[in-house]
Amino acid sequence: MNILKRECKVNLKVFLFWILGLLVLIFAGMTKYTGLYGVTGGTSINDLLSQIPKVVLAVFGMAGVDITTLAGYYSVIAFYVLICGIIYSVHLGANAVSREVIDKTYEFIFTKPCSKKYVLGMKVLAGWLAIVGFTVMSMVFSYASVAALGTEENMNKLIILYGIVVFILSSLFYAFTIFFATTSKKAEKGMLYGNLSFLLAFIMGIVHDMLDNGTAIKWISPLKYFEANDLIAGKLDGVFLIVCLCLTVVLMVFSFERFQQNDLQAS
Amino acid sequence: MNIFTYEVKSQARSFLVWNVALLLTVIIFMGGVYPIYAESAQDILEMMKGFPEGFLEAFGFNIACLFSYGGFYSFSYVYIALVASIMAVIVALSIFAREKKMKCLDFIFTKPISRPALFGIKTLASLSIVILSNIIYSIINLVVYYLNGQDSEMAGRFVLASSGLLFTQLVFLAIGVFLSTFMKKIRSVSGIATSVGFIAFILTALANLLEEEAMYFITPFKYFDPLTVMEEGHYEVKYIIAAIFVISLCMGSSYVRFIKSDVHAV
Repeated sequence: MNILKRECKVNLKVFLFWILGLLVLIFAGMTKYTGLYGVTGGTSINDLLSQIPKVVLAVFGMAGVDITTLAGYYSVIAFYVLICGIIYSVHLGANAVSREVIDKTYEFIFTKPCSKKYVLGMKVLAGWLAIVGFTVMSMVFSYASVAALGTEENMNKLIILYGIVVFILSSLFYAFTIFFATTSKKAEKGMLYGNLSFLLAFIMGIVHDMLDNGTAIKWISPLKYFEANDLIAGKLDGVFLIVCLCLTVVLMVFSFERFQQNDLQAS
Repeated sequence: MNIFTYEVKSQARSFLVWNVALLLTVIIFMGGVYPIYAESAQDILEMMKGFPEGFLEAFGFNIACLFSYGGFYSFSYVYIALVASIMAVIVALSIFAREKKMKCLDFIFTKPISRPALFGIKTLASLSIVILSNIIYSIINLVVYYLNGQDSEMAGRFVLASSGLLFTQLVFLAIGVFLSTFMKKIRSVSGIATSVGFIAFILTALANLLEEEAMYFITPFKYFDPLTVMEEGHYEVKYIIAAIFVISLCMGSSYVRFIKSDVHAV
């Protein structure tokens, strides 16, 4: 319990910075929504957009969503929130495993009268709480910013769905980074591989946006597992939800086993 | 000279990896996707004639221009710049913060070389890495330009447009140097670099969304926008000034800090 408290305290300062960034991102982004009602003269913009090839839409920055509606506009902002969430969780994951080794304070913590698994467990839990906090705050800010717009539309369901997506995908990358950090020999490499995998997923997401035949590419672009249009329609893709959860659990279990066996090396 | 060769050598592998990543990005976008894009562009232009007038105005940009090669490069540039900016921050951090990270500042500072000279050599090393990488990038970019069958009249402008990446990287190099001298503790180079790169990316996206003129000044990806060059043949002077301001502020304050900072015991 003491370890958990300490870890949370260590995480707090960086957490506040991220929350501040989140606040600016969501409020600055959402205030500009004006809606483009009535420009199409009767035809819905979605009908027009559906005629345009995907690659062109991607260039125009609205692959698959209609940014003239509030829901579509919000999903653009929510995607950036997702990016922030994942970068933050990579940072948290790497810190949970390797911070003490990099700071050369591990001799202190790992001589405490509790097992290595327990120590790692507490550290992982502390980071995970930060992810929960990040998700909850993103939902609160989204709700407030939509309310501030004063439109009558009810966005609560979409906000909650996006909250779930941010949480699931952040946890996935959190698990990935912890996995990389426990399996790589050098302490710093965990963060490196975590970031690289995120960068790769990001670029695969753009490729997925630009090309129509996305079925195979979709599997390796986690950022596009839950597409904006499905979320706006109120659906979470069950298959990918299960894939994410299973992957997270497997990676975590494997990492814990691995961490127990690892020797602690002075970096 | 010893320090220079050491710094450059230590960067060789990461230089190779990031250069390949950079070139792959530009080849995928400009070589792979552009032909598909250009093909569908003709149909779209036809189709858009039938659209209601207000629809095109709502997007607030010149459609014909966006369908040009420069327009597509300008779109791809955001992603290319993302990779390039991460690379630049990594170069700056690993050269300027290595001793701090490994807690051996006392080692390098006891060498028979003054701190200003050390700062100069490190700057030179990072500059030469970035410049070399940009020469390769510009050549490949031009090759892809010709392979796409673009006319040579605009080639001069395109070279200028692709050199914008160098200036963008210089801005991020300065930001990286600033971070490495002012941050108290540096645990991971890649983590900081990714954060800086994506913050710049999100700022760009926000600036595009908000269309606030003032916001462009804090979005480094906007300083050297390729589209302006392709259309007008030069960069916008106010953003060049902004870039010079950022670079000199970061480098100047880092220099002072580097010269005067105390070395802490481990």
